[in-house]
Amino acid sequence: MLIKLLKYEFRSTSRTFGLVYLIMMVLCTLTGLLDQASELLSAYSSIFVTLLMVTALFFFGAVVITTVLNIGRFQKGVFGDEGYLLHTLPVHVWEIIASKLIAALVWTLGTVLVMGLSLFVMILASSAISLSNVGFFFRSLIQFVSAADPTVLTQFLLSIGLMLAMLITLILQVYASISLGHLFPSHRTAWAVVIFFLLNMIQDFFFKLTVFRLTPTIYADPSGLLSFSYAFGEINMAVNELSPLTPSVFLFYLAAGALLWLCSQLVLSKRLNLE
Amino acid sequence: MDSFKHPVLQCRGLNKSYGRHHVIKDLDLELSPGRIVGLVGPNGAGKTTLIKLICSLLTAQSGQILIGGHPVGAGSKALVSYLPERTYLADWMKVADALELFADFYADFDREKALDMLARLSVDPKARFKTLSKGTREKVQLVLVMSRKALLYVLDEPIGGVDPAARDYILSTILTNYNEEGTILISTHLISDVETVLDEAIFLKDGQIVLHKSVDEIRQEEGKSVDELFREVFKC
Repeated sequence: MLIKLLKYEFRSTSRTFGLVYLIMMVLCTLTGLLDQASELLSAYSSIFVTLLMVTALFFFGAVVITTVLNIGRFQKGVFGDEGYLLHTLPVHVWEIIASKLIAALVWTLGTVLVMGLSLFVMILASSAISLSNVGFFFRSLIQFVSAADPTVLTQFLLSIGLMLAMLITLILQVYASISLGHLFPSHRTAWAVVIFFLLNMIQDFFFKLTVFRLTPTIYADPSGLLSFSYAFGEINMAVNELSPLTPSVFLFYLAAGALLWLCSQLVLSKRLNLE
Repeated sequence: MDSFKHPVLQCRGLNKSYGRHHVIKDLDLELSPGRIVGLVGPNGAGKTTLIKLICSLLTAQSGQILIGGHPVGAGSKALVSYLPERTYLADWMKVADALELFADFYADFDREKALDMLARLSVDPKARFKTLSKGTREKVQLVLVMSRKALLYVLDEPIGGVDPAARDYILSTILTNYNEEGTILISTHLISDVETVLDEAIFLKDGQIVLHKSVDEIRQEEGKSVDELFREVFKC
């Protein structure tokens, strides 16, 4: 049933995301071409600058659209009118949460990927680099990866895994906030926002309490101002050895994600009140 | 588990409240297969709350609900065909998408039957829901719900707020398409419109069942129609 839920989850949003991705690619291609043209004819310069600004704004807009759609799909699909259909389908609660989570994850990563791809197309279209240079870049990258220390590669993969774990936890935090906000008789959206920030504070507190305690000799922070970015700083620093922090941060987000999932699961299975 | 060996619906000691307001109070109910049951009561009696509890859209504070012997969950949902009092199909969907969705999730959905009913309504399966009128959307939902061979049909105010012609269409659609081994639980204010098709009537008042009898029993014992008895019991 999860596959079937995913099918309708993607269908409901693919048109919007497809359009956003298409506009992003077209804008970047045009911007790149105008950059090239403005070098030949200065009259194009002002159009190029305007288009560049529009593109930058649209990139920002794409992030907003992705966030709003992902949140809306959960809020409306689970607790709105569409919930009357969703909760009467013969599916388990975990399948509902999983389908929403997977779709949100795919669309978020999709937006990031298309952004990167669009920028790449813009650079190509502007002739800042040629196709032969691109080929050279990828050949060099492959050579670098194959020659690299396996520890570095492991660290790289771990950091990718860590970023995914953080993203999944963030999405589950949004879901848990909306679900817990649903427990209130009124002003549910406002409560969801308050709960989101409360959950953030709780997570932050336990992060400092657990993760840095696990690795005190390396990461003792007298100022108490350690933040999540330390984890990434550490990953960047690691060259020849595995970061001792990455696995603990990864485990922390895994545990936090599991608890947040449990919050949504309990509300949907034990406290659902569609009014 | 063979669902047809058990009562279609069993509610035991059901309680539901919103804050201090007790909407369903210690409610016990059992429905047998093959019946058309009217759930009637004034506004605020708890009809929609009871229906939502049966369809697991609300969770009870206490008590148990069994559908065909199954506790409320994914198993019971496969046996219940629910028509809410609102439209629940998303705007982005075409009618054909909704048919596909029902066929995907409900093993008892009869797509041919649904297409036939839609053709008689002159509804184009390629039409998007956002282009359909509220009345047509409601009819499409009814077609979807009645194209299932469910154990229990739960219809929340299916003829409320529609014109008499549409009322006739809705009632004839229900009567000609339901699974006769199953049971229909239909909530309504318009008792006189449905009285002729009912086998049983449940009177709900302040979250409690004040009467649950067959329509024949009501006529014989009370010497009144269900509509007349309703007016007497719920006199303001």
